[in-house]
Amino acid sequence: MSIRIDGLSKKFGGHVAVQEASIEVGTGKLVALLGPSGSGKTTLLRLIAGLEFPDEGRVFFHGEEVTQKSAYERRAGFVFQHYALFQHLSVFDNIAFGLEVRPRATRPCKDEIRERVHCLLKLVQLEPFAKRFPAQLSGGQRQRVALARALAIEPRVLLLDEPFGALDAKVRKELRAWLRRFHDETQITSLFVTHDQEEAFEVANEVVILNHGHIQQIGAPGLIQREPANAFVHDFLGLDFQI
Amino acid sequence: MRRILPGFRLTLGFSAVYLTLIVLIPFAALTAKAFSGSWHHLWEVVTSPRVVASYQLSFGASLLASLINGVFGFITAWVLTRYSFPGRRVMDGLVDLPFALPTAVAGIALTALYAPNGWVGALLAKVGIAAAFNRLGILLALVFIGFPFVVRTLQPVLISLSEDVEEAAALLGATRFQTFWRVVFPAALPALLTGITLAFGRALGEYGSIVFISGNLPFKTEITPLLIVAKLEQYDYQGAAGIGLVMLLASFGILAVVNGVQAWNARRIYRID
Repeated sequence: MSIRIDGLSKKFGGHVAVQEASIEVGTGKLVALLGPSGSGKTTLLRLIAGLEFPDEGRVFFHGEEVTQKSAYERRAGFVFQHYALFQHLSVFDNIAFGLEVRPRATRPCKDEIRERVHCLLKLVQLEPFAKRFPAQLSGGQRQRVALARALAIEPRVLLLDEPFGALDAKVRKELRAWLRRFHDETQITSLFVTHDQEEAFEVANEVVILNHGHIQQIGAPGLIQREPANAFVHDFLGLDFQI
Repeated sequence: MRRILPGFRLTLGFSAVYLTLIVLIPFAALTAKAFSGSWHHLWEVVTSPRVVASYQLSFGASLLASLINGVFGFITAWVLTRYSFPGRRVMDGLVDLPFALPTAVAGIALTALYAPNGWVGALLAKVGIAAAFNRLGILLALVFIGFPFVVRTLQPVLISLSEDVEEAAALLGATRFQTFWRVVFPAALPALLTGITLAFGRALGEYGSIVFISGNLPFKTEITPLLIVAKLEQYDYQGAAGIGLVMLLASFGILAVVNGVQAWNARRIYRID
């Protein structure tokens, strides 16, 4: 499942958040949106997810235009920076949520839901925690619950907004490596937002660099580091010492 | 034990003395008064049919009023926190009026409005509803005075609910109603329950506004606080204290149950083992 965005622009009041952004993400790729805070990377991700709607431009999932479709109709899995878990529901019920809210005709039966949730718990290595509540988990565990919850609806693409942003350095590294492996196994087309260049270059196949709502450069990590497209990219990556 | 925050002993000591003076001693005096005379008389007073009928009315009407306030208070708090519209601040200010108004004034105003010759009362009379000098009137007054409690306890909670949780629900395919019912409402439920409990407690003790609108008919529209005043007027201080004690114990029991449920729920969700 590929993602293509074509000339996306979004303003909030007078503030330009994203300006004529065009990106293509190939099927099975893991792409990072990298930029300083306020560069429009989260807005871009939200435009792709259908949580915001663009002033101009179009969004395609696998060639099919989804610009005017709702978030759910796009079937995008979304992981929030601060997890956005349902505090009053157990880990199991959080993950089952996307299946439980389906209309009766398409809702899997109880046993099937239980089986799918346990499968996902196994995938994110949280099997013993099914009955816990989010408040009883560590940050890294919560983020994995959020991921399992997003995967429960069998999304066509996976969108992650600063998925490791709220975690400490050690957990961050572990989870990063885990995400890399997870992506290699599932091959689900994924796009994640980060302000941490190390994270972007280590995890992603391709990196999109943004500043002030404009895309500065798109390319493989190695290429960007070898040949920064402009002064901003050069500066942002801190490449000065190589001169 | 060493503490970082200063003033533990001072503030604890102050709180203990203050609570003793303000709360504990009056309650102890009430209990002592109730048991000061013959126990037989005490029992006779607190179980007399007229008093028992008033317990039923007071607790029943207060419960019903606080539940009504739960529903409409939730809607009002929702509107005030979720949307921005012209007049929102005025509306927000109006919520506090029942707090600010002396209850006797509220009683007179409500009676004037809902009595058969009042503006609203006259309209209601045409469709055959009498809204004053009966139990409906009591309910109206109790709803009026309890309303702010629900709104004011819910508002901060509804504001603090993060938007991304609702977005997450929508992304997972929940309809707007499912998002509300399965995500927003459960998150606000503890605060709603607290608000309803506060409104209930306030309604139980209400006297000023009720005496005007209820008509005070024995067995029909006599609330318990009215009977306490009636006993006092007959110089039956022991009887008055006895009825007061019954109300006190019942309220205490209800509050204990509600708080117990809340604490159980909080432990279930936040306990780390």
